[in-house]
Amino acid sequence: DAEYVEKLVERETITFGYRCRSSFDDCLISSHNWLKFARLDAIEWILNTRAIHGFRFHTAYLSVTYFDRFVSKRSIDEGKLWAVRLLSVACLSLAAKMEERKAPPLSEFPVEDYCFGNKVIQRMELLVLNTLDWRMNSITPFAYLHYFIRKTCGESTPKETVSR
Amino acid sequence: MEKYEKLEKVGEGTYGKVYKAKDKVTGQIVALKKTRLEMDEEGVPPTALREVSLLQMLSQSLYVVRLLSVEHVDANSTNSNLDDSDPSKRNHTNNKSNLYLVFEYLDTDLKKFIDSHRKGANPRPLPPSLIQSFLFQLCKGVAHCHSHGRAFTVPLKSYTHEIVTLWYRAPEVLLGSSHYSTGVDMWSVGCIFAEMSRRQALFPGDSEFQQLLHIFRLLGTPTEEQWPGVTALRDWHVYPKWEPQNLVRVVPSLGPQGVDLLSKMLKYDPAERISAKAAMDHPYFDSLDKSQF
Repeated sequence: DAEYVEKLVERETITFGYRCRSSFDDCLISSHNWLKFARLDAIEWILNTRAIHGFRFHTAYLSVTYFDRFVSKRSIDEGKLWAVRLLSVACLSLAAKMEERKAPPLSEFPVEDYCFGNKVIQRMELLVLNTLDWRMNSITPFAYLHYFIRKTCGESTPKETVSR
Repeated sequence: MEKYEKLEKVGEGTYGKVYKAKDKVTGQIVALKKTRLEMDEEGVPPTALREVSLLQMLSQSLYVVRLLSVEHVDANSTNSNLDDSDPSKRNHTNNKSNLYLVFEYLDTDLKKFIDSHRKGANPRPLPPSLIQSFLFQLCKGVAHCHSHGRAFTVPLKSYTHEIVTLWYRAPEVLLGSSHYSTGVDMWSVGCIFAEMSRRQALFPGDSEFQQLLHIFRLLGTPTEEQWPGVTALRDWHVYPKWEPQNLVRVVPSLGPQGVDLLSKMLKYDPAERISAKAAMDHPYFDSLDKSQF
């Protein structure tokens, strides 16, 4: 299992790269405040939608990492809240397809006041995929959880505590 | 996609068509695998998404086909070179777009290679040293995939049963087990190993039921002693009780070490089946110069 964790670290570095990370920090510092609020709003929407569809928390987390990687590489014009929502839909839909046994149809993502056609969402999915170079198999902290819980709590830990 | 000049269609499957193509600038020959993006409820198909992310991770190995890039083409854009030139078809595909996975081009595959030794002007067995070398490279590729295998957390558990071409499908999948693992691939490797020696498939079933009977007739009907839990699997029924046959009879040219390795790949209990990594250390490969790989 130590070997497995090594592999994870290796893959994490491949998918993200350190430059990408720091550029996101720069982006947060220098960018308009509105994006911070828009991001919080997006996370809230993602978490709510996660609950509605019964996705795993990991799926929601993964979609937020897609979101962050996207805005670290491309900018969204100030005030374009619809674009942020469209991006959230695309990120969550992609994460669900990667992680869930069955992803819901695009029309079942609640977009409230917006009306995005399937074609528009699919185009946004493709834009996200191209922007992230199709590297969607991101390593998240969830992948390390089992290993470290077992290391710190011993072998007897019931699996249920971390299964979600 | 204007980058590529389509040369010929080299394959077609349920997933779409595969073309041989040339990079107009560099002259590099590539294989283009076309996937239709239907404008339906699904968005980008999960299968394409997973295939690409997996391949990106696995393509670092020399023994896994290399994915060079992914290109998206709108069918309504001017791309007569790549899209169906039949105008009647064009109308129907108007609002559809395509995804092209760009792979390195390989001249042949193992199936075509075996076929060329089975039929045609000069049918002949594959040289034993070649079988040995191919099997080693196959194990190396599979070992690489398995070491990076915990790529998807959830879906590795309860999966679809429609995986793997029927002839190479492991008995636990055929019997409806929902928790299969890397052992299913080693079963397939075993079937391919035997097929290289025989030049014909080991278990050529034409339905899931016939597939099981093919396996049972050669290896004997599995018992609880051999494979604990087998009778509790979802699709287990009472089958005729066949006795195991001697494997040498179906792969006479493989030699004792080869037959031993094959028998370890075709163990009924997935937990007992040899791993790709362990297979590479099997005495069958002792006479192989492994430094070349």
